[in-house]
Amino acid sequence: MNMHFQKESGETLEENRDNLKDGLWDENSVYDYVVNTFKAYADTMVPHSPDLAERYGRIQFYGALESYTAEYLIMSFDGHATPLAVAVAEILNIAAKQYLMEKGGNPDLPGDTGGLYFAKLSQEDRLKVVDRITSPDGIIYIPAGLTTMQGDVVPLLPALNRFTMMGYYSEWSGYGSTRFMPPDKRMLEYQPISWGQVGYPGPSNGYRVAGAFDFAKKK
Amino acid sequence: MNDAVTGKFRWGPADRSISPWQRILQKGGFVWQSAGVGGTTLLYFANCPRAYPGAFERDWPISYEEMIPYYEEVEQTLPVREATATSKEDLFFYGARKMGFAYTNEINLTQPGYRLQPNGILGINPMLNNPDFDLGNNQAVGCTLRGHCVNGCSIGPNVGSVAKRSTLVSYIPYALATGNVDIMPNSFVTAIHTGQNNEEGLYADSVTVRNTWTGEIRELKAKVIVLSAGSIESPRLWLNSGLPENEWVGKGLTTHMIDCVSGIFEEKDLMNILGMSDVKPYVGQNSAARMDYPGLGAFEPFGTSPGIYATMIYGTSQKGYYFQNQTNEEEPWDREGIIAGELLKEFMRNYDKTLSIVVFSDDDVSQKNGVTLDPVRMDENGYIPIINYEISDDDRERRDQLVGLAAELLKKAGAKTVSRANWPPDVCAHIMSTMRIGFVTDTNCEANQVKRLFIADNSVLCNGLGGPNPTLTTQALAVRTAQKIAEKYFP
Repeated sequence: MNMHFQKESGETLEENRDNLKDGLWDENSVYDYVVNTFKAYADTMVPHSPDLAERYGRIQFYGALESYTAEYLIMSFDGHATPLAVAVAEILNIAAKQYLMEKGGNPDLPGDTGGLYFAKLSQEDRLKVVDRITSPDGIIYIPAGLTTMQGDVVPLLPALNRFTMMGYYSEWSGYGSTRFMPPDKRMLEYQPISWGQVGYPGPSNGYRVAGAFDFAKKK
Repeated sequence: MNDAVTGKFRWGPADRSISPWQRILQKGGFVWQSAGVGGTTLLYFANCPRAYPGAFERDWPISYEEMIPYYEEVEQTLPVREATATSKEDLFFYGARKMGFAYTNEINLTQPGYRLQPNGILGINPMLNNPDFDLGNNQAVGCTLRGHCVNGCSIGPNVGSVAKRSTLVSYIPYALATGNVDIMPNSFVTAIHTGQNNEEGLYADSVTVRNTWTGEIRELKAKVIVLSAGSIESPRLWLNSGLPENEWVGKGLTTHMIDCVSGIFEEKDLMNILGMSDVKPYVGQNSAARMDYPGLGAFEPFGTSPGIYATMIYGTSQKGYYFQNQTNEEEPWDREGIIAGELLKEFMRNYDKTLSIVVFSDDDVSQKNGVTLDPVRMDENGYIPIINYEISDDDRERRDQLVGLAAELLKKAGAKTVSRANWPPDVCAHIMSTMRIGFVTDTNCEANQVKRLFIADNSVLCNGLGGPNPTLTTQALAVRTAQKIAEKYFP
């Protein structure tokens, strides 16, 4: 983490200094900052849905927070040649702060919130912020002083959406305790919640449906 | 499986403690490729249509007629056959008929028509419908309609008889059986070296190969070198090797500007049309039917497991989130853009009643589109590639028209709600024509400026074929190139 970001994020300098341990930022506060930002995003994309649960059954309530989707996002962004999760979290929060400023008022958060502007937004506003930073018409919310090269992180921002869908609806959360292992070591320990929600029975050896009536040549 | 960062199929070294190899896409797209023996055919749908003859007449320096025997040879070798449909295809055909489209028996297409997909998947296991047949201990040859084409097919008693005919299970075993071939997995060529003599001028002489596990570097000399690293890496390797400048190296990229539309159906309508209450997109070959429309492109129904499905139909767009896009009355889709929040959950709850169509539009070759090297950033294989693709007005018009037809088909089939994704045009799944025949190479696919260097992948296609999936044409052209190499250098 660099000084510039800390100032941009609205914390006071004294509080930032409090977080310094032998000249380094406290790892735990960085961890919380990143995890909470990605959780806010994942929860927006695949939220808890009490209404759906009431209409269609209890399983429909659960969302990204129960399926480690924020972890998947962090793992995927950090899996690149340059680890990008911290940079993406910074971009989300600074774009969120900008968004709040445009809406008027003083967006500065009290010092103990760690600059989590993104999580402060309503779910719809969070998506509007993501839309701004992923719009092909020009990205204007990339904080100056980012330690990551802009050219490394900007083209990957639209992956926020794709990673969320893959993380939540694929088999990944069902890998359970093996989910961070290399692919040949991962084992499907249980059916992901999402599969129950969508009615996917899981991998199969085959389906006895050959000979479905042939619409192609039917006159 | 299809997790492109940490999963089985990704563009990166086999060692999963190392990140995937970086590519830069300017417009928010991504590259869907897999490294490994068999390459991206490990995850392709195995759709094997021929190019449109009209697309050959437009740009190619060789005639479509000349290609036909090579098409036939690949079709017999893989082999290519008519796909076996399941309910998603039946629903697609129902909509196509309602649209007034005609069924076609043709394989060299000049007119619009729908048909079963020609694909490189073996016939159905004849025991499949026998309820006593134990699928868990299946040792028989043939497709079991398990729907894992894109996740990597492993159905078959041994490697050479796996149902989906990726090159790993078709051409590579055939090549090994000759006794003349060595396969070196985990090898990445980082440079092509040349020599020079009076007769030939500049000629390819050797390559530098880096082992992606150990980092060991080797030099291999050859009488003839075939460059076949795909439409991104082939020009990248040319440029990183400092081979002669050519205004078409890395230029002319076509991608089919892929897009997706999906429709959600009601149970009673499906009962009436299909005699069953759902479509089950996870059942059957991932795409077993197609609609060809020469002049505009092609589209095909598809279904996959839910992770890729959600990513393709609801998670990829150049238009942002659906709630920010107004749709007008003329547009046959009800919404456009990324689906998020409770609506995403509601839509995915209808996963088994969803029919989706992937649309491949006919994009023109433009010298503005293609692959260049980053001037600064490198990985262990050299300067990294930057991919740039700008959609032209003509291309956009064709694309919107074709996506409109696909959306209308879903409506005519009875879909209650239709969503258009509107993918960024630089999503690279059909990556073609960055080292074009007739421009970078002669008509034998030998590089004009470097003798003994032949090109044999999608990059040497002269254009986007009019919209059909490119693999069959690339394989047919490679068979022709092999013959030309044999005639010229090994008489």
